[in-house]
Amino acid sequence: MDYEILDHTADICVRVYGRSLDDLLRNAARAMMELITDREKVDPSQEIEFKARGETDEEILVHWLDEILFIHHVKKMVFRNFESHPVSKTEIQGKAIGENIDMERHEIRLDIKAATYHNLKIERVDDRLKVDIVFDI
Amino acid sequence: MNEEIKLKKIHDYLWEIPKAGHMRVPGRVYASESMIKDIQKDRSLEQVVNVAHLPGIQKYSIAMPDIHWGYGFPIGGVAAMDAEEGVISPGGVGYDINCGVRLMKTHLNEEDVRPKLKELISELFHRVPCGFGTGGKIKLSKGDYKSLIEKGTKWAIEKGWGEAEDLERIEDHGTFHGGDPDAISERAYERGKDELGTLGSGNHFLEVDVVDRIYNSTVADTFGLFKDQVCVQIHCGSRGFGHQICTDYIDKMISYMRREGINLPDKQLACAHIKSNEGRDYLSAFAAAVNYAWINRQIIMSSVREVFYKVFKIGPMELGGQLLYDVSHNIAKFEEHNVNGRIKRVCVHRKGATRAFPKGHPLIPEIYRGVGQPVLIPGDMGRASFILVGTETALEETFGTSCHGAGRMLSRNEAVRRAKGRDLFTELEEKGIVIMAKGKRTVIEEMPEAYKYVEDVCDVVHNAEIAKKVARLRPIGVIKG
Repeated sequence: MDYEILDHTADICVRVYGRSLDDLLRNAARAMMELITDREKVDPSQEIEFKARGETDEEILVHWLDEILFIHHVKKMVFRNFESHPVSKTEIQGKAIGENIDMERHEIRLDIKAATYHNLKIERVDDRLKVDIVFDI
Repeated sequence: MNEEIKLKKIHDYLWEIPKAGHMRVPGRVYASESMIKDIQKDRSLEQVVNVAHLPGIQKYSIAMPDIHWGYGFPIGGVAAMDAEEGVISPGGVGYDINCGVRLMKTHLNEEDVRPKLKELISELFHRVPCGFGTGGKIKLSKGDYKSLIEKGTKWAIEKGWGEAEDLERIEDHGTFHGGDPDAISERAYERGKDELGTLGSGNHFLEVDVVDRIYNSTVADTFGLFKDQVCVQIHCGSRGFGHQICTDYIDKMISYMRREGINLPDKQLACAHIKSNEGRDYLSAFAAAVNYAWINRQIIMSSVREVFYKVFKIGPMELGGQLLYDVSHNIAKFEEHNVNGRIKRVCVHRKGATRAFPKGHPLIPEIYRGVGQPVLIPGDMGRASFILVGTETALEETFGTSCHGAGRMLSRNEAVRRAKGRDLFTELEEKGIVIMAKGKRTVIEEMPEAYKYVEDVCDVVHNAEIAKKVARLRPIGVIKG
């Protein structure tokens, strides 16, 4: 399992796993997009490139998710998949693959405002990384 | 999960979390005995404790009875910071800067509206854009932004959305000074450029209500409320513009804290000293978003008035579509308060909490100065909402603050689980409530039982005297994103 949705009273919390930071980032982006829409119904026809930087892995994670949210809000797109490649210890090159929102085909389940730093800590559990992310709805 | 946090009972509706560890002040929670048991089930008390660590916090880290687990601050949290030595925390305001509620009264009663209720709700639904990605008709240029940041709601009035007298009935007369267009990122401008006059989604709503009970007729008279009167509530905020400003500045605050060596139990509390460059810049961007949110609610109200004229074939005089008040419940404000016997300038963070100033206070409109400020408390879409009035006790105990709503009780997932096999639209219709929504899922997640009963919340506030009940509203028509 790459991610699971946890209960949170006011907002939404997801638990995400990954073999490495860039794997964790991809899974976190998929989890977030799954909260937003049914990813299976998204046609991977357009690619958008972006970068995420941060002093810590947690900051990179929040910036990564906020970059995707920004593109989602402004370009009115949904995504099926993501690619991530480390450029340096503080920078990740990302690619979001999806299409423009079509209200006939894409149900928007949640309007996520932002990924938060609330209790955000990337931990190593056995051979995997694990993190709980709270999103503001 | 909060069992380790000790609570001391102050009176039947107030509990104290004694100062411990690095807390700078004690915590104080307004709640009944039965509510406090529920509150202890999630992590919101831990968040009250965390807020008590913020530099410059005065007297108490306070929580209202609608408290629930948020991120950083609890929702329903109040914290006043010393204006000279203290900090400002974007997370303590929230992503939806100046999210708030306004209530428009009418001269109509339920009998006048019932026969055309479905048409009214349908017209409102088509007129007021709502739901994700639905932009409004207004496209903002950089010049528009500059002007609206400076003028606030006055900008909307000049453009023809409303009347000059509306300004009297908005906190700070609808203009938040100190906005600086240069403190705002291109991203925030981009996100906000077509969202003015739109409702958004989540817990935001537009609701047609009927006054079904009056508790205090003297105050109700001054507020212009009467039994069976039709009113409209508008609940929304600064949309993507405010969300992006909060996102941008939380990052700047995290860098600031690293540089200054400030350590807090939760990074989402990220803050900067009010007098620092980061603090000043945030306040300049924040002021712009406060104005944006007021204008947003103003434009929506103007659309609501026009829909009423059209559906009921009446004019402004017959409708009497007058604003009762507009309250902000995600906000930080510089105010003067009595702190341990001394009048002090503080920055009051209200994160899911409403100002509730008493009669005679210079910051409330003259028309209400004889009774106190209207406090608007929306409930869930199936039961009730309340109008209260601010009190002297609030000024003494809570920096002039009261609750802001019912407060969520169930997570969204739990609401979806409980709604399985039910038709909430029909259930509401059977109660005489017409509902239209962009997303069916929103209605499920926002179903009445996902919230505490707002009357229980208002009773705590009333009994603790941090606001007094004036009238109860019953919903008859709801629009959701």
